[in-house]
Amino acid sequence: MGKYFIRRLLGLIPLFIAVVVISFFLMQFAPGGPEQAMKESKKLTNAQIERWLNAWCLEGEDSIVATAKEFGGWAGILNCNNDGWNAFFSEQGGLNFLPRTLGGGDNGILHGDFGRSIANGREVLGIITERLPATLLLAGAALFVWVSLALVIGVIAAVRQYGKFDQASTFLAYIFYSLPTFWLGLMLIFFFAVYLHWLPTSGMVNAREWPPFGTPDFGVAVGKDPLGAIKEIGTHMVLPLITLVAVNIAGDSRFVRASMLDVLNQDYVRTAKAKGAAPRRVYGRHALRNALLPVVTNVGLELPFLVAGAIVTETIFVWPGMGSLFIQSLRESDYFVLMAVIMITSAMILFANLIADLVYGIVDPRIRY
Amino acid sequence: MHKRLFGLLASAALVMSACGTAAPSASAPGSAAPPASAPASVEPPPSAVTGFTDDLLFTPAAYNPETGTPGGSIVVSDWQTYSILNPYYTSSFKNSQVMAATFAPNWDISPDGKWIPELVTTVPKLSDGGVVMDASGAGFTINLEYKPGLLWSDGEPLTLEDMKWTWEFIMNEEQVGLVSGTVGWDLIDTFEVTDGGLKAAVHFKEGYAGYYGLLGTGPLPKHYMETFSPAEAADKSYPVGTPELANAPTSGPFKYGASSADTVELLRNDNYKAGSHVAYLDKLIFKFYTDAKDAMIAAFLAKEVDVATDLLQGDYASIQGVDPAWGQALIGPAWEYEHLDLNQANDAFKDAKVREAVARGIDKDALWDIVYPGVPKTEPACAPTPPGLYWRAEGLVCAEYDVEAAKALLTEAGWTDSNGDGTVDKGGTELELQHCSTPAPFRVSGGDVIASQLKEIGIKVTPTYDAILFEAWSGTTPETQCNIYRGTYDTAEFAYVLTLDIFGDYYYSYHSSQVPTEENGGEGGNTMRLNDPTMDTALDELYKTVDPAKIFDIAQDLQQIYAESNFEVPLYYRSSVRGLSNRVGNFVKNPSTASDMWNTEDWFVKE
Repeated sequence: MGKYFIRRLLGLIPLFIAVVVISFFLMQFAPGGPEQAMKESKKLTNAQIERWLNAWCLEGEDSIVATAKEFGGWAGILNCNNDGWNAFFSEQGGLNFLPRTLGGGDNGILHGDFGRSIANGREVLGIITERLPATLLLAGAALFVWVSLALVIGVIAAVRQYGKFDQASTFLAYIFYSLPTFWLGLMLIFFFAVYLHWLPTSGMVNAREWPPFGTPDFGVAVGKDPLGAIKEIGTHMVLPLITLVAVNIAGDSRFVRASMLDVLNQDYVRTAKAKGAAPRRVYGRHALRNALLPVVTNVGLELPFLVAGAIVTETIFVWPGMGSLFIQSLRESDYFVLMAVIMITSAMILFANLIADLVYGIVDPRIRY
Repeated sequence: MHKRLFGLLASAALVMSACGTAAPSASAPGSAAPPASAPASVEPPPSAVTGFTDDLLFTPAAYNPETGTPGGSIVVSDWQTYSILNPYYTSSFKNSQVMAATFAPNWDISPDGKWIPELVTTVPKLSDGGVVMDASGAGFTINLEYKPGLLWSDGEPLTLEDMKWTWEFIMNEEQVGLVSGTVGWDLIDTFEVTDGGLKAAVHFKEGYAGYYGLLGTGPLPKHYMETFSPAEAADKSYPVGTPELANAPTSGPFKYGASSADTVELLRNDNYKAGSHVAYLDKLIFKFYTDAKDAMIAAFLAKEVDVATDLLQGDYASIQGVDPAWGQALIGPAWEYEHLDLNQANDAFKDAKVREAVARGIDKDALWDIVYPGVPKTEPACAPTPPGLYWRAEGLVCAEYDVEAAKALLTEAGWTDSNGDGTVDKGGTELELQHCSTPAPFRVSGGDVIASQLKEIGIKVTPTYDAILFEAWSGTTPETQCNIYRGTYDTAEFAYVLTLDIFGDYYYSYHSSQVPTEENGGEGGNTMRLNDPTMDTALDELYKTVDPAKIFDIAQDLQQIYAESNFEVPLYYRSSVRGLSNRVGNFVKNPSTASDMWNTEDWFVKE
């Protein structure tokens, strides 16, 4: 298993690079570009713009070669202060992509330099660090709730096929599966927050009672009342969580149900029942475990949609995560932030799929790597 | 070049709906009337103005705030997120609102549109020696006097040395990012500070009409700003969403506390000396909804925020549903008007009869009823000056809706429907117009209404709705369609936001030297390419005029030229909408650039 993990991890690297390269090129060939966004920034002098453009190999040309150079500068492979083949070498004389301590350069993402936000001049890494916890919290909780509820609902529906629970869950599944995420979110806000006042409309904390999330003052407040903080954030997470997972639960509960029904009709399940095994043992140990394999596959395939859904959900609920940062950066043509968000999101999805692959081995002992 | 840059920036600020303006602002009167038991109120302005007097510009209506109860916090919301908190680097409304509570200007704007002193003891005037013309008549001097004992929030003295330093900072060649460039500042040749920083004589080497707007903004803290180079000040001073913001000194009733990307807490500034007392509130919290206006409105209806700002009349219906026990929806005039630009580069619009035909072909009442059903109607737009501005010319006669008269005008101008297809033509060319605007719902429905109305008089209009309308010159090419700076449109609908600075309001939008061109790098606010000698003459005279009475008179002429020429068709005056909870005491609407935050030191929590 360990060797498989390392082998798969290494295999993810070229896949990750391919995703990043394709995203970079697509963005560069879209109208506009970082050089144009920089030139429009009133915060930069012409000298600063010139320096930035040179440092990132941004020459403004629309050609494959120019774009490849821009990628090289952004990635840290090329030293844009040098021309021709010398661009592959740092000021110290070593290959630029190497760490500085080994004679390499200090520009680009390979050296931890994600650039600066064109919109506000702040370091991109700092902005991402602020926003990532909120997204991890929401997406992590969503994944847990989604998988748990889908399994529970699907198993019960299969075990009690055609019963009241099965029919009700089928009916609701079709409804929720048909609902657009943004509409569901807005309706939940209207009903539970505006009309009933049971839950908050948006954000992570009540601005009247808590300092802004992520600030040192918030940290102090959490230290004083950790349970209160959990309750506060948890309450604010309910509606975005429902919005994010409703569609997935609806779809996957049907999938679990179908997979369970397929397994429940197998001979070994019938044998287990005939042997007098308790229903919990039959369904839990014999049936569910075998039914999980296609479910794990499905969850792995749907993870990107969880991320995409987070963009919409975070925007509707003003959740200060990576999704809303993506939308904001798109609007402001903040290219360096956009690329950083795409990179990190891609890495999260690829890693999650790797975990899904490993779960196969846990679920089905026959699968060995 | 700096003038053209200012023109571009000023006009960019002017055209954006629900955004801030180019004018600086100040805050509440330092010598407010003694608190009374009656709720805060401002008496309405006189209904007709016949000539300039100092009272028109310098005597505000009585302001009688209640005595507040110290303590508590109020949450103010905006659906656009703040980004810059240095008043010389931004004029956006979303930023100006926050700074109205943290930066005390030299003079502010009252709700009824008068200059009122804040840091200064009195607003300098020509009539009292505060503004003195040179004996040669070439230039003039403004005499400033600060109130004694002013402090920054960190306890450092706030004097006119800071204001002088601010002028030098602006004029520094390394400076970058100034929202208005150095326009006007470059006319100051001496800035003499005396009396331990309490007095200053600021000399302009030539006449300049925009001096009140220029000097009104107020000083930056020298001791703080000196820690950055001018080139990096735009990024490093008052850094939004960082812990360092809390260390940045302020001069207003509040100072900065914790801030994140979408929230900033303002704490009471105990060193605020410009007003009669420190703020009553412990905290004023700004919550931003990252372009999610619906989320902000929902938050107000759900009682999560006390004041919902930056809304227009189209939002009134959404916010009216608030529980009356919790709050109310306020609607009031804004210093903005929606209008139709007629691109003067289009040959058809060079004919005054065609322009008048277009003006007469638009039924403004019907337009309002369709675009804003159920919303209280504002008076029909005629003057390019919304109600509330002191120089507004009453009694102007504008082209009224009259389909038959419009048709007759087109016929007189040689446009007839020779082929019977419903569209008039002349010399084989049909009168087809490309109408451009933004995709905001009220502009889409408005544009469709205008298209159908002009079709009735024989003008074919093809609407396009795209946010490219306001894209900066550098972000477009000569082939970009529907961009006001490139002039690639025939008619365009957008709004102008006005300030108390007549010069800034009109010069950069209507003077022929301010047309954006390739030669000037697209820096200019005259997007409709107006080149009218009469208008130019009036604006040239305005530029150099210092006497407010003469400025007022020129403004009357400008408005008359405007009404007669039909270069633009004013459609309606806009209203601004707020949601206000009943918790907030002493809230008084202010339609100017001072914003509703003009008197936050008087706000208190009503229990």
